[in-house]
Amino acid sequence: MILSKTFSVWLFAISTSGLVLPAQAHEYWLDPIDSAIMLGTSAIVDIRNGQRFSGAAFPYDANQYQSITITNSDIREPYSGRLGDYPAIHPEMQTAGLNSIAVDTAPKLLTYDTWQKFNEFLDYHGFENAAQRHLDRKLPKTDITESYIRSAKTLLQVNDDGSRVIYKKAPDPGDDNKALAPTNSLFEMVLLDNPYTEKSTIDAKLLFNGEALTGRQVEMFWKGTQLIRLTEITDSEGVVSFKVLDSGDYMLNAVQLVEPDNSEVHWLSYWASITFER
Amino acid sequence: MSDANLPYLTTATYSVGRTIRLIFWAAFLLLQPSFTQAHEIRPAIVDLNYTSSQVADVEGNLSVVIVLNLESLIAGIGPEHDNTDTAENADDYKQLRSLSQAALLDEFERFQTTLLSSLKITTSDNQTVPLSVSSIDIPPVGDISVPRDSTVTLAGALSNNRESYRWQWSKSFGEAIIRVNSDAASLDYAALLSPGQQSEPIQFTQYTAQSVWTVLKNYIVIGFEHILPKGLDHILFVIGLFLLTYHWRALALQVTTFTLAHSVTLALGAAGILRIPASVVEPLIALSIVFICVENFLSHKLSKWRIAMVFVFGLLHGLGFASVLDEVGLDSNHFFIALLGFNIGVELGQLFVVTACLITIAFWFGKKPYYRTLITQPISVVIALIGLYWFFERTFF
Repeated sequence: MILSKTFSVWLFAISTSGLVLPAQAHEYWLDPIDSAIMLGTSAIVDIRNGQRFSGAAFPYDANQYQSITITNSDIREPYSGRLGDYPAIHPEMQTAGLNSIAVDTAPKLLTYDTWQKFNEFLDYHGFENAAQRHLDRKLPKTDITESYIRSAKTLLQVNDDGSRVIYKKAPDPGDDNKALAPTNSLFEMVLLDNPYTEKSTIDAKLLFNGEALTGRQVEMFWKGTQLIRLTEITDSEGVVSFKVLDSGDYMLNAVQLVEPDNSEVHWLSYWASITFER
Repeated sequence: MSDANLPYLTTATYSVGRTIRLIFWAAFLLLQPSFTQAHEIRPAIVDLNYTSSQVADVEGNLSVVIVLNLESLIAGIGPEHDNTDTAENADDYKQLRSLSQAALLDEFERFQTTLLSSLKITTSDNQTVPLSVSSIDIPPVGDISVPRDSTVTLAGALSNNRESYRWQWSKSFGEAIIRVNSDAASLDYAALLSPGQQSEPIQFTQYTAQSVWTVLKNYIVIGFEHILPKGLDHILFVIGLFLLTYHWRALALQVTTFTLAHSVTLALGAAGILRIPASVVEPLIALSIVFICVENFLSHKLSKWRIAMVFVFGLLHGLGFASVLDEVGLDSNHFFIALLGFNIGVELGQLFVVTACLITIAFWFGKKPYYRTLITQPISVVIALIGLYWFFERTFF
């Protein structure tokens, strides 16, 4: 089974008392308590880090983010909270329709202390040539350093009574497009359609530097009656298509690995996730 | 692929490379402002909630709500450990993390004295605010690979709303975000403290320092009000002094003696040096009124005995004023100014009473042959009876 694969990402110098994180921490995602919000009330959203929909939540700390934005059918606005808000994000939702929240983190560092752990990471996310590139670049096989930036989005539906609605067709695709549009992170994932419709597929596109990213693995997690992880590779348009499963929590996740121009770290990684619940 | 396939990585070059890399990393971390902390921060969150409407010392006006990883605190996995696996007490942590709510609660019962002794809220002169555990909320076990957030609520009382307080907890408890929430001020103080770091001084109410003149003026008013209209027993005592004789020299001598005496005990009482319970002082004050008026009935001249009596009674009344001042509260930043102002206010009140007596009684009847028999003696009897009534009331009821 795909999920039984063991894998470890060792965070560089985890050193807080409150913090005893599991060794694995593959995904970084936004976890709304409810993704259907009554107009005029607050969405309550945890920022989580972990794996397979199970992870520790982190309090709001502005120093950890490059930006947090909320996008509705009218406008994209920056969001700021108060240090220690927990759950971290709780904006009042003022506009009906599809809304999105996007978090871009500040860069951080980690080291893979062994060659094996680095390779497990590469295998898990489908990087076939990176290990060879690493050796070709004559980099060491221990204490492999990586700088990483994460981009996480969640898609919320806002309506008069806060009910969960699956539309036959998107009520106003033009409006939806604003919430679905790229936030212009260096690496990001966008959904091509409102996920709260009866469409039978979830189509996502990867963008790196504004360009479609082809041949990259995207993972979809579904947590309903069970937990399932599926992977697809982006096509020539940078698009993947997953079949819609039953009602539950959905997360799409992808990683991009880049060689840095300078030699301060061995690798740069970029992470993108999108969550929704239907 | 194994190390054997990498001929360029000999042991020697490896360790040199490692050292260089370490130096490089240190420099890199220092020189890269765009990078935040190199680790994922999951500090405890401490909300200090101040409610001004609750009476301090009675209900407690401060609640401290802490969201924390209780298991790691109990296991003693501090910031010096970088992971559960490397931590000495990793097994303890894992065992605690898998405990049921009830079992972890038992562990907390044993741990709470350590918790309370490891955190403190202190005043500017290093007094510690006593805190007690008022509740604990432990979630179910859930996924044990994910830290469990328990919530501990502590209660305390901030007695002086003009004081500023600092928060600190033990270094071994790690980082903490502290946030101050007060209904008495629009505060949004929040800070991330490194392990063991003390917060800056925090004021829970918006207090702007008053000028010396404002303090003096305010306490003169307070002092005056505690004679007129609030201090009927003091008024009657002063009227009693007046009723002996309205000759200014005798009157001035009595009032001055009384003032001198009560200033002494007021100062000693306000400074907390002399404390005699109101249950003792108040009946004696009532009795002093009776004595003065009985003497008025028997004598009409100022004797040395009378001066001594006024002095002793003055000491008593000063204690009464001190307890009043205790209730009002003395501005600790301007102790002497406040005390002086209160005293001046009391004097002005007394002078007002004496002047009123001179104008309404002495001016009209002072020279009349019946002044003593029909004016001062009957009034003295009435006041003495009132004093006697108060004495019994304050003693037995």
